[in-house]
Amino acid sequence: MPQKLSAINYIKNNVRRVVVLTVSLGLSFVLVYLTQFMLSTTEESFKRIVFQNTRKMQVMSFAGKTTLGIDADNMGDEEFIAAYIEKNRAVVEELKKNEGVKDAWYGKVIYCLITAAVGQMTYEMPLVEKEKIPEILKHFEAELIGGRLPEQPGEVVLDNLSMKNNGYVIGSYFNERNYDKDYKIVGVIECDTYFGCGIPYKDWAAGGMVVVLSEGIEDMAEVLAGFGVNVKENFDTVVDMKWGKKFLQEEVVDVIANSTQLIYMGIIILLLISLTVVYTTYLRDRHNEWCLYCSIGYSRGNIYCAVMRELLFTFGSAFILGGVISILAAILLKNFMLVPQGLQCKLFYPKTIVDIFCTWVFLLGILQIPVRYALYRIRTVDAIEDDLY
Amino acid sequence: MFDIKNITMIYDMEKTEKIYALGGFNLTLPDTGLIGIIGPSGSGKSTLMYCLSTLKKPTDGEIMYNGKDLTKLRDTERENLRRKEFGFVFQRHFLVPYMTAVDNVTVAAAGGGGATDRAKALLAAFGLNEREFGKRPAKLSGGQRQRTAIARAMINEPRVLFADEPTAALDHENAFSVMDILKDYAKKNLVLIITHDRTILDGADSVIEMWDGKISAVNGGGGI
Repeated sequence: MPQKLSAINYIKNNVRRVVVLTVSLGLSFVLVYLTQFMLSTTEESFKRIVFQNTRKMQVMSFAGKTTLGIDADNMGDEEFIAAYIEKNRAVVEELKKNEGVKDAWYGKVIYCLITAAVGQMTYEMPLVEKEKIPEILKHFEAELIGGRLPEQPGEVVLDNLSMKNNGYVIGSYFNERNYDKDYKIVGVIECDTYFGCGIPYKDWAAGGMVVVLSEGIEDMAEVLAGFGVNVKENFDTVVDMKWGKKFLQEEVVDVIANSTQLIYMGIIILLLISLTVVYTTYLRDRHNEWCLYCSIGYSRGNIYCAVMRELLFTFGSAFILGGVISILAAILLKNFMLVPQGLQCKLFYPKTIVDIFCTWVFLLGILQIPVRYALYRIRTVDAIEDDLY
Repeated sequence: MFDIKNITMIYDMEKTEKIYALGGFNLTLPDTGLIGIIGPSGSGKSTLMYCLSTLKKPTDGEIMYNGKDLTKLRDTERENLRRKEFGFVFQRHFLVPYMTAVDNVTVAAAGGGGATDRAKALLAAFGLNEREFGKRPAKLSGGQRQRTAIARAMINEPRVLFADEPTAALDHENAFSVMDILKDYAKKNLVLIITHDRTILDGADSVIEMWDGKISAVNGGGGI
């Protein structure tokens, strides 16, 4: 069997060139993977709020006139507030009759802000009387790991991830920007989502919400409709799993996917241009070499196979290199940047790896153009010497 | 080995003033021996060599090689012939600049094991020492490069060795040393040497003189 043209000859004797290509491709892998990794921390973190919180607790606020049927036009403010509270309490009583509802009340909520790599999201923290707090924590399978439970009005407990994300310590005032110094953190809890709760000031009146503790009621609108409260998207607020899924898809996943795609396209276009330019230069340097091969009996097919083996070696090495560096970098980023900020992340993104693989197959396809052109330009030595003399 | 009939090579076929590189002649070459082809520039000697080695296809005529007409072979057959039965020493050495001397020789190996050992043995026989085996062409002298190119041409022990001005870039001492190698090889194979320098053809089995695309004289017989 005739000996093949060896790809190793080129690789071992042109280490610098091969390394430049391998490292460039490898770094493009790292860039794409880490972009996906960093942007996905937003999705991973918000997913917790959306799925864990809304699975265990739903929060609702209804429009007094259109949904609850209060005749607001013929009432003064105080009269309206009283009617509004009464109607909400009636809704609560109806909700309590529902099989999936563990507890429900009309009360105040405050909002805790979670800042991810891209974007922010808030979750609702119920404020209840002191005696109810252990029940809520039990429902959320939360455990006090530092400080104490709230005992006085204006005291709250917060989970450790939210504490880290906001840079709080026990004794910090909660969300000073929105609530001034009204709420003080007195304890830290640990649970599998971002969560907190506390005791409201006794004098709160307006702005209450219906809070439901349940296990997996996905569509609260359906439950409400069961006893004649028909919520309307533009007038009422219903924070349940159905809302959460929609919010996550439209406001997080789709937005991040668009950003990721744009960044990815930018990287690929730059990579494609630079790779084609650099590789074409490399090919030009090999013109005489290939003319020699052709003259001494190697076919263009033999030369093409050798070039493809060289390219596959380079791309393969770059893929492994890029993969290893990406995972190591992701581990470092997770431990030194994301975990200290209380953010969630996944280390392994198989879809991104498949995407990169497909893109590289496309790049290999594009590189066929300069390779084919270089092969087309091959002449035997006699033709070169005809030109010389 | 070669039986050439009415070989004609015309350049610029499409132009009204055609250039006859080979003007239609017959020639028979033996199986072994060192045959020199000599003549001024443009006399057609290189064209003849390229036609015999299948690198060029003559415009007309036939070149019979061991009973096969080279002008009628398919590309793959011509490539196989160049790979396995022909060896080439070109005017310029055409060594691959990034490869070592040994790799430059083994790159032409047509198959079978031990190519590296054979390459080293050839290079050693041609006077290169082991230190030079690993050097790239840029680090070798002109003579060493040419001997490496000859070693590459001989790695498959070709039945016909085509050498186009193999000593052009060498001083006299190196030129005669290269010629000794080729003369030795010609004892069992056919070596065709194209040159301007008549002195290096001392001891050739025959010398074909070309002029204006035709054979003007054959000296020495040697089976021609």
